[in-house]
Amino acid sequence: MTALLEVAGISKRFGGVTAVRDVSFSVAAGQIVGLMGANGAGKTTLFNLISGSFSPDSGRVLLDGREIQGQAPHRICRQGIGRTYQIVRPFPNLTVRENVAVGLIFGAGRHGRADLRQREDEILEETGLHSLAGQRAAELTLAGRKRLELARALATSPRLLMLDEVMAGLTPAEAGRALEMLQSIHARRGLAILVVEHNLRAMMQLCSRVVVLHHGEKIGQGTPEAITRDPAVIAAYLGAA
Amino acid sequence: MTWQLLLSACVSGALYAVIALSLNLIYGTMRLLDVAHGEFVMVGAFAGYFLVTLLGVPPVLALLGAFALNGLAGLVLYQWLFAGIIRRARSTESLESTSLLVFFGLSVILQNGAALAFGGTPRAYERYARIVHVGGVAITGNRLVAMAACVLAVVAVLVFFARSTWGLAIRALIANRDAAAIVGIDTQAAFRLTCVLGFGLAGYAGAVIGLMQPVSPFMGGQYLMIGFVIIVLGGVGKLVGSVVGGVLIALLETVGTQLTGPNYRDILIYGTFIAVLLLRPQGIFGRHAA
Repeated sequence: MTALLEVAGISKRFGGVTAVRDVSFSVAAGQIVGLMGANGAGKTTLFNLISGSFSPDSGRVLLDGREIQGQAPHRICRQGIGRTYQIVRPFPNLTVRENVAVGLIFGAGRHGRADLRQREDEILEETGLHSLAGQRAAELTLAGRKRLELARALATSPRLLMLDEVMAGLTPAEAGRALEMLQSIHARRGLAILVVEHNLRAMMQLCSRVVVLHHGEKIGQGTPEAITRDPAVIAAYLGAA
Repeated sequence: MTWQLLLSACVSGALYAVIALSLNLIYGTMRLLDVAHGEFVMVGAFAGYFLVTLLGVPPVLALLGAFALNGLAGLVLYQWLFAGIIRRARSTESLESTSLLVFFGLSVILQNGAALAFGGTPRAYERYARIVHVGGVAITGNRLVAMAACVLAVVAVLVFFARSTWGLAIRALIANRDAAAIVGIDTQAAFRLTCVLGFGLAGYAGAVIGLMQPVSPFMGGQYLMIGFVIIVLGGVGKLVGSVVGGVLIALLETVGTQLTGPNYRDILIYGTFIAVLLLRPQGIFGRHAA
């Protein structure tokens, strides 16, 4: 069985700095995989390489066994990869509902206008934004904008959802609600999720497998329990290496 | 007297709104600093002039002809020139400075090309010259047609952006180019459409000017300046702001010069421009960036 997403020996340099070096891993359909590593470990670069914002210098990215590396971001989105940004980028001048509509219309679902309203409502319900539907995105709180970023990514009907620190900057209570929301979205939609999160406890609860990056290289992978006992990971995290 | 003045402000306000809207589409969406916009207006004016005088096209249809010709030119320029500039730019700032030079070159080429081809003498045609009385206010028919044409264009553009799928895509693109791409918007296709609309509208505005005034290769500069003043006033990428700003500047120009004197026109307009830049650089309707 081919994995939904397969990253094979991917590398990316910026000038003299190697941001990602020869990283390989895979995500099966419906699986939640975590991506761990300190700041600058290459997690966001990896996201950008998969979503098409950057082209890799070498290596391949396969979705359902088909190579997608180097394609334009909108093409990759339409094949079923949705993502959020660590620093949220909702469309501030559009309403919450319009933000979701953009994803529905232009994403992998290519939804027409016929049942647009109903689909918007579904996603707004699912992400708890329904009461804010008519507000401009610029007026939301950070927690609200993070949820909107998630809602907009969901609206593109992804088979793989990539979440870049959707809980960062939230209060513990907000983060707890975000975690519950992610779990229920995963249970209902059965999509695969690749998640970057600094909140270790959330990672442990969410992920069935974790990939650990350090200075752009993969230094370990396994179940959350195994990862926390891995000497290489502990060394990297405690700075003993 | 007062009503006469207000009607006059409405005519130029509607025209300024179209020009600012078209410039804001090019600058707000693609961040191309189009300092040749006045020359695109001029090209549209000549297109309208020749369509009417050489081919005998009714002036109202000539407006659409000028839109189509300029829109096509915008599309060709995008494919041949702008797409490469946008792709190679490393940042918004470098895109703005590169495009400024490119458009400056285009403006010189267009202005001198037009002077070479058509001569420097202003040309005019006369249509709809009958004087119409609207509730005690007198106005020539061509100015009334010009105003109606501009109001229609503004309404059409605003409805397109509020209601249509591609209008939504371009508004998303104005807000954030990267985010638009990752939710599936084909940015290249949206830019192409923006070029057709933006340059097409500039041509349409030029042909509207040709209804009222003589056209010459050197007519563009003043409209470029007015366009940028309005964009700063209404906010970059804010389309409704351009419409409101256009009407405000026209009111300021018409009523202000009436109260002070024609010599004060530029002082009033650029004074406002500088005051807005100093006091509210995000535009009078803008909010501080979050």
